[in-house]
Amino acid sequence: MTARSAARSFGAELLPILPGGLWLLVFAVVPFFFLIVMSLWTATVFGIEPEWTLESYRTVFADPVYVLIVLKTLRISLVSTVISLLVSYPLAMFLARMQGRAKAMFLFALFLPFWSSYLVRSFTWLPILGRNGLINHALISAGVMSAPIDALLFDEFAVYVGLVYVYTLFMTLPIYLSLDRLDPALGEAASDLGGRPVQVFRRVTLPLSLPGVWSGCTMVFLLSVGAYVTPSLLGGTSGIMVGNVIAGQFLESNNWPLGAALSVLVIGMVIVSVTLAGMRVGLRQLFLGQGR
Amino acid sequence: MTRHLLGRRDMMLLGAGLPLLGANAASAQSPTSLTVMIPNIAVNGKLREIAEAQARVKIVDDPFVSTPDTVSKVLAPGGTSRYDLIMAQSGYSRVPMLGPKAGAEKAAPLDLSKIPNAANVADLFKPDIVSRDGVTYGLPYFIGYDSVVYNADVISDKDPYTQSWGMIFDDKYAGKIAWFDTAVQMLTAAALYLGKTAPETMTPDEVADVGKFLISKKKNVRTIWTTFSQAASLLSSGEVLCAYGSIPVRMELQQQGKNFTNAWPKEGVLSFVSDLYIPKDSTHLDAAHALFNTLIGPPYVDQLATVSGYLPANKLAGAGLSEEQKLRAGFGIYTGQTKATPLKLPTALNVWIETWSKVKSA
Repeated sequence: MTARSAARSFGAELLPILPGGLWLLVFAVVPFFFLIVMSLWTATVFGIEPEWTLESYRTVFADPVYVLIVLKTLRISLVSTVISLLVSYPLAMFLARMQGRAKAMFLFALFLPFWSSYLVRSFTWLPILGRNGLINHALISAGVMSAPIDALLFDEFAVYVGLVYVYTLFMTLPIYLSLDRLDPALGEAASDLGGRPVQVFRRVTLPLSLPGVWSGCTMVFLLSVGAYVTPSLLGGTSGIMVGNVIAGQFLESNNWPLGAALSVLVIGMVIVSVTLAGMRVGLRQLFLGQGR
Repeated sequence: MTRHLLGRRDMMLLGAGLPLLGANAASAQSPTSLTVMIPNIAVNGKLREIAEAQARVKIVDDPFVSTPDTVSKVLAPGGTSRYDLIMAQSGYSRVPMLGPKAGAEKAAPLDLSKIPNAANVADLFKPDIVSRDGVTYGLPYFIGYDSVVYNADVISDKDPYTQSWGMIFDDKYAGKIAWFDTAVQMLTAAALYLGKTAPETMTPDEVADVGKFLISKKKNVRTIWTTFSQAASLLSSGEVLCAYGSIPVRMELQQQGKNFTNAWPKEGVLSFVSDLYIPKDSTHLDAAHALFNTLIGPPYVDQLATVSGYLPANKLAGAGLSEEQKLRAGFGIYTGQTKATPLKLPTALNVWIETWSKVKSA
């Protein structure tokens, strides 16, 4: 093979990945590069000066409060992911077992709340969880409580409720798609061979739906780490996540370098978390929902 | 064969050109759209009608959150071209808007020949004119103050806490308090409560002490609000009884017919004179000047205090208002009847911001 034909062959192989590669370059690599550059600039009362300094990183690591809020964010995201999974799996199983028009209606109902904005979906919980909200009103009216429960809103609990609600679809859909593709004969064969329903689920259904589970978990976890609106609206003083601290630096505080340094830290910690999970279950499974 | 004066091609060209001509004529008549960052209560309803009609502009709102937020947005890359008119407290905004040296201003130099109402600025507020080397960049718009807004149906005005910032720090109303998500205001209020007389000059150690105090009181706080309407909603729904509050919050609640009022802390309310600026890269300078002039002159200023609660910072302020209305609008701050501390840009702003971030994250 001549050098010319080898180059042509190499070019032909590269061509299909060019659009994806360009997309990644423009929307992921370049912004991340700018983020790193900005984190090394200086914030002054007159705005940002392109003078190199490690001051923002010194600020982030000098006080444990920033690292702690990142760790807290990872914890909240992890718990939200687990709760989403527990809620979404039965829902996905239910949808997978439905047939015909009923299935279409339930899928439509699942999508319906997502036609409204993220903000509205988060805001919805205020009149439900509030001190004078629906739940407290019902509990007091029923005589279960004599005073409203304050912990329902403006607390970590409310953040979990909000995050699970707004990201349910991202967990339910991949699991549903995994379950929907399963051949029902597999479950029937396992039952015929004496497997009890729990055993059939644990040894046949669950392992075969794991690609969807991992996909859903990855999406919900990553979306939760970057959450800003939900903790801001529902979290109060104890449900603040790192997204709120970062937004504050870019908006009111005008300290873009510190905001950028915190963003780099979060991205770094997410990469470490996902890599560790990937080592356990396989990156292909984690991101593509495929077997190892 | 008859030869027409205009051929078929000419007619087609004419046909294509007429709509363009019409569009040009329409755009010549339609008002210029100006992106404005001013508290909504000051450019809403009747006030908006007056401003748009007199200045012949269409106001496009960019939500006003706070002065630090506004200044931050203007200082951000590209920020000076995003807005046509902004409002910011002079004590906080003077230094960043003027920039470190001549030529680095973030505001456009004002053509005072296009703002004849500039002559109305009261002597009392002339120190709040923002200028450099004889060029004016900002003019006083209105005066105001921040305090504690509380539910007067539940909290009696005889409660001594209505006379102190302690209402939003101490245990008395624990769990029924909301703070404002902004470093300068919250740290200044806390510093005043702790007995500091000139909070803006605090050393980093003193700022850290105020931060520790706020962290120790965070357990009493239900949530931290970010927008005026969010604060009004929290108070109105009964989620909180008292909150760090400003005039738009109180006015919104009172306009809903709710019994809310503001405290007069013995440590002093946080007072400010808000200036108007035209960001330096505004592409609608003439229209922005026209709106600027409208907002500091009659008939707009005649309505400002009653509709928005803010008192115009000019000679016409208070015309037609009762003493009670003037006091309520903050005029007592300048006559000595109301104890107040002016909000100023802290000398160690970054330390303040870092401290507030720690308070929120703790």
